[in-house]
Amino acid sequence: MSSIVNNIKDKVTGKDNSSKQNQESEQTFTIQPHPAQKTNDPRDLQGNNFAADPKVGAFHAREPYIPPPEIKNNLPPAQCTRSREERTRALVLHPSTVLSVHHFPPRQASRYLPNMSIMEYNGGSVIAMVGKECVAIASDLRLGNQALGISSNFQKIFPMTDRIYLGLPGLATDVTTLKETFRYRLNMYKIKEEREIEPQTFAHLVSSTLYERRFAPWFIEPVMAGIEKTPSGAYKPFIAATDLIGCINFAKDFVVAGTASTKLFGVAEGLWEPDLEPEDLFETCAQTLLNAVDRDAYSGWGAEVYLITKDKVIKRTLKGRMD
Amino acid sequence: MDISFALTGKGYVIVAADTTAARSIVKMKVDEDKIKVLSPHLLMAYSGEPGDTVQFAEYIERNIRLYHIRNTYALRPPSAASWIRRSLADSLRSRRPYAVNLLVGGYDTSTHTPHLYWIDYLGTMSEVPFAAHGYGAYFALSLLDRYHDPEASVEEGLATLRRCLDEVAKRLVVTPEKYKVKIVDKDGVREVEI
Amino acid sequence: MATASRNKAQDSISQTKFGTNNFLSERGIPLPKATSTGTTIVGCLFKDGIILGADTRATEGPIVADKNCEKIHYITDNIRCCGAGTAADTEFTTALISSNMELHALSTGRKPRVVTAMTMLKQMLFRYQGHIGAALVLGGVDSTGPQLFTIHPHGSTDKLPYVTMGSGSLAAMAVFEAKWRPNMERAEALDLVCAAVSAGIFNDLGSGSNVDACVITASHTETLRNFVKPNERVQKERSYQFRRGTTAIKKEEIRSLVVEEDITHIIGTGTGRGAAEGEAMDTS
Repeated sequence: MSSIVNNIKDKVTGKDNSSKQNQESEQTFTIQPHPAQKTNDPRDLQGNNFAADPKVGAFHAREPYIPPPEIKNNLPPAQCTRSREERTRALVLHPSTVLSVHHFPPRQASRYLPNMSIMEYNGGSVIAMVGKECVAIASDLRLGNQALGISSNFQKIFPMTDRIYLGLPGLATDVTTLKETFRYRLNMYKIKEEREIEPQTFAHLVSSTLYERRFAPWFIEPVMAGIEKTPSGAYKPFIAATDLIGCINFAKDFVVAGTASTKLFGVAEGLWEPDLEPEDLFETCAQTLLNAVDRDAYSGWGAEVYLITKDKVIKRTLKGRMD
Repeated sequence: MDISFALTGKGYVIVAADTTAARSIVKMKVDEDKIKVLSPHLLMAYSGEPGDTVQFAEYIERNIRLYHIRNTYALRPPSAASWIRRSLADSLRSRRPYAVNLLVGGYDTSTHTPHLYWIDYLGTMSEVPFAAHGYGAYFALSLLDRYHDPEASVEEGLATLRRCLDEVAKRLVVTPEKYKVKIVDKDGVREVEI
Repeated sequence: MATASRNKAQDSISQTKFGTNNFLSERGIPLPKATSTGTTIVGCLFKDGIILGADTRATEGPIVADKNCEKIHYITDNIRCCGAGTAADTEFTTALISSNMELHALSTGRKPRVVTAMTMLKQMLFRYQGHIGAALVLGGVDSTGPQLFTIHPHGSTDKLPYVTMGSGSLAAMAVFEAKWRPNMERAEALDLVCAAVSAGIFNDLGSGSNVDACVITASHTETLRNFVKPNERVQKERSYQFRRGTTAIKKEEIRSLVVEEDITHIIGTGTGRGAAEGEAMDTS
């Protein structure tokens, strides 16, 4: 097959068949002339040189027409203001034209749009941390409309399976929509596989669901926490987070997201330490969230922590600042 | 410029909405009912972009009614609110979304509990003890924080609502002159004068 | 480089074929930031094959989102690909091409070639006109010998003996320009790759943490995850544990893993009265 192609190419390029390239050296390419032309030489185009044709050439265009003074000075007068007014009056008096005078303001979708980042429109933050054979995931409970607080009981963390919890900070409408989407997809997974999903697999499900809408994303940065069962039967803590288009971050220590994420990063970096027992992990996670959230105007208004261990899940609602 | 309030109490939800229909700076109508009765125990106050509101509210009304006809029983408040929210959320990512904000209040006849949902045009939904939309929200929410009582009787609830309306009348530059107030409880929906 | 491609992808989010976000992404509203790998990725030819190298920092604007992420992606056994730019895009494009390469290998029954992967990648990226912000370094050894390519987000490619990409590409290239020679020994070349990535780690703010490397020869592929760790965190001098009971709790629920079912009777809505009222409701 390729030898035929090479033969044709050799013919077209006028290359001698005897100097056929050997297989080792790299292929080379030349610019082929257009099939309608013989060569690429511009001089070959001289035959039908449009620019040279005086009838077509731009430099041979005619000058603008200036009427001679006798015509110019004898033109009829321009329509005066008065005649235009008369015409307008006639139009307005006509019943069907009256409506067209009525002015409806144009619809402006942008008038209703938040004048800020969409990710900060409703506020809210989530953090997840790894401990010794346990994980904790915590969120605030605020739902706002920019600066106006709407609810102090808006949950952002949802159980996906017995051992996997998913936090969805971001635009509140997408929080609910995605919660429903994942509920649907996990139910389908369970029906098809006849088993619960594993945390690792679930992270990829989240990632794919977000990347599906790469160019019109959900405004959510999911954080997940769970306990996975290793093939040996032991339980291993698992946390992960993704950005709004589904890039997974498998961290070993903690993951954060939401309007207070910058503050959470700082506090968690200082307070977290490896192999915390469940109750110590709860304190560290709760204190990290509460203190970070106090430095964020859009997060707060109460908080909750889910502490997942191998045999039980403890949900605790925290007392936090309500300002 | 529409203002709407709603609050729950012991076995009831009160929903109130102003009755002005305005276009630009002009009042076109002062007796517009902006609270739809979706089913025997469900109310929906709507506000937002003039054309969208009625169009969307009627779409919701007809579909909730259709469900009632097909199944002989109406959707319960949480399910109805969830479906309404989804309609708005789907609309948000369509070519031309509805700009409608809602307060959905209902009485669940199975569990005998009142439910109130705050929903905005983005499809954000939250179940709340009291809620408001429009400029009234900035005045009423702080008041309701102080005076709302989930165990209050209807009379007390209406008194709390009265406070909100008075506060708005006192402090808001553009005050609506009339409100329509509807109550939903175990006996269904009724309208009250305030 | 990486930053530029990321911004471009986001500006035109609403024009693409995946649907619209018109209402939200109307003019004037800044779109949220995606994780980007403001990266240093490199690759070079040596005597027996190819060495790829990458740093391990992922950023979200000025925030370090991941301190030890993986940027050398698997394509086939004998081909690997380093990614810079929008992190999700590099992740998903390489995964897709890896999948297609496997299928290609199964249908042709041959060991896949690097040019094949390169062509698939550049055709996909060109189709998306730069909106997929993936800047890649592709390397591997196949029947035609060692191959090394760079692929830009718009779909253009280069074939060179040593390449760098990402925000740290200038720092890394300076090292290659100074020290790279043809037919280097393996150890020598690995040192050079580490030096190049380290130049990015220490001189470019978008790159940081550790050096990942991957040595591909005709017979064997060796993944050297966290090959050099020049920025390891030291043991904290103090423990910052809180005394148990520090946090005030309002409510505690312990979730039982026993499944419970609640059946709620909803017929009580009153078919008689309810229906009658429903009729009346219609006219309102």
